[in-house]
Amino acid sequence: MCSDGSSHSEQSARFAAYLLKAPENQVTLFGAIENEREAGMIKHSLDLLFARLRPARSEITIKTARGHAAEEILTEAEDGDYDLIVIGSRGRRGLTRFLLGSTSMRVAQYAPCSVLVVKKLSEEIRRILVCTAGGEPGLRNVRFAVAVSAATEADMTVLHVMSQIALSEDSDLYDLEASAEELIAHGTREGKHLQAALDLMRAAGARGEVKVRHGLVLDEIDAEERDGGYDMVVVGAHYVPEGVSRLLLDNLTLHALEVLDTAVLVVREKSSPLSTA
Amino acid sequence: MKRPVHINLRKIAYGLIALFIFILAIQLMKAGAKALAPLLREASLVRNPFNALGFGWLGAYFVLSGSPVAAASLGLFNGGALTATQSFMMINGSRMGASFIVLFIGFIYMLRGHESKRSLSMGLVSLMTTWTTYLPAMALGYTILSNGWLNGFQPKAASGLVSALDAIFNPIVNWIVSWAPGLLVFVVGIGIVMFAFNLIDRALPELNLGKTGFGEAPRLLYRPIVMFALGMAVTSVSMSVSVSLGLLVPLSARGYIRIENVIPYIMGANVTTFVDTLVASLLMNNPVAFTIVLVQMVSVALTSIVILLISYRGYERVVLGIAGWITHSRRNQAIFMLALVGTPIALLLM
Repeated sequence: MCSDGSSHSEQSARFAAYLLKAPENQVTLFGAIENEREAGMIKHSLDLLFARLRPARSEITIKTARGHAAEEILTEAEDGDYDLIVIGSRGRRGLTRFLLGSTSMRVAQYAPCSVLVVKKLSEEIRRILVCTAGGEPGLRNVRFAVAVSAATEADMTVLHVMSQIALSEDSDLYDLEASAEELIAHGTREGKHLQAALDLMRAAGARGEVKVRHGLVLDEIDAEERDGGYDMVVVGAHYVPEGVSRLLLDNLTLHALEVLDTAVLVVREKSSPLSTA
Repeated sequence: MKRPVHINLRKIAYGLIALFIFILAIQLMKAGAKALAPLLREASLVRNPFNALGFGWLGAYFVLSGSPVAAASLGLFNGGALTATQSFMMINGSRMGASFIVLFIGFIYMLRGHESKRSLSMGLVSLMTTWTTYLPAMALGYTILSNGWLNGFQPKAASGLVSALDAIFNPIVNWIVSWAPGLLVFVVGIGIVMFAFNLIDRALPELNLGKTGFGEAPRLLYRPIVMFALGMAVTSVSMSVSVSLGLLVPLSARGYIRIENVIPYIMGANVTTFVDTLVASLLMNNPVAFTIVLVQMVSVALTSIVILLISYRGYERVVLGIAGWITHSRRNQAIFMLALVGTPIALLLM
């Protein structure tokens, strides 16, 4: 859990503590000190968090580092072999925020593990929206969300957005207009993926549904998040293949972080799902 | 043992014949326009930039293509029938008209109650993307042209090449002009240029986007500026937006592509679709004709890049919103069709 001493980061850490309430989850409270003026405030904030979390768990560590916040967090994440980084989205970084992008965006983009960016703070997690583009990365998102759902007893919605348009007269429009149930019934590629997501949820005893929306990907995710009153949105980390494709593909994860108002969990391949005991 | 590269002699032959016919057509339009110019000025068919816009627009409807009308516009300018700004607006009109042609058949089917949302959707997205970029680009280009900001980019005449072309084609052109009236020569020139474009299509090399890094365009989201560059690159060879769109079809077994990928692709295609017109301007041997086309390409490119970098998501919503309104009901479709036919006529009468 990262703190820059601001009240938002304290509240974000409390949100994360609720999420990670299983006592065997090892927690490190981390503060990056960019200048000496804020050192005292950050240390005080970390001490307060420690005091709040200590009764419920045995392994809490406090660490600080001096340097640029995002870089220090990323270095600690690489060295410490963490499964999840929790960070607030509204820091106090001034001009550098605009020059280099916010700390949370940079961490979410380059962390070696999953990142929970806490924006709008909820008292509890009752509804989780899981975004999937299909394939194993999508199912990874579902598995992570299932673990969170188990810890919080939240309902899940797995969302797939069809933003495709027909190129020719011969294109079959069915897939572009069908609901999730229809896609599953017809055994299309998307339907099979959504059925696999449903199977994962049922196997874990999670309450969930699958949904398909049609339109621009970001707009539909944003609309679903607002319409559904979700407390957390789960997205996959930006897929960055080797070679030229690295330059070609758009970073939907970053755009989602910019657009969505609620807590966003960016799932990365490295992580194992959280302990849910 | 490494296989020798296959040389498609048929495509080369098509290309050479197309080039010969294209040059001949441009020479005929030049000659025909010179004879036609006094008649057009007398008839006051094109009195202002708005008339020129409507003239090019209706012309594209008439010949079912924009490129011949754009080439004709340069011919008329070269012959003194149009001013530079009128020629510029006529070229814009040719693109406005051309982008509708793709849609026209689908619209008729829809008005008759046939379900044709497939090609109509792509046609509408293409049309809306074209119009929403061309309208601001037109204003920008008109300003650039009127102020002469790109006049320094006029090419120097390659006198050797011009002499060689004159030596080859003047006898043919002079023979035709000797017995045919100016209007007929001009119209024949347009007809031959259409035939040349048909041959050029057959001469194009096989472009397989599936073997590039863009094979996942039906599924993944590419950066808008990257798809814009791809559209520009592909259309600089195909010289046709609809051909460039057709190259996307084999990427997907089900015939789909992400909307987010296709809109910037069309925006890029709309820039280099003028490559053939640029070549025509060089063959005109008229530096100002070259500047007209260059201004067209630069203004569309600049407008598109500004949209892509500053407000692309909002722009996407506008394009899809308008397309959605049109397809929402038959009443909306009919209103849209009336506007498409009535607008160029109204422009011509201004």
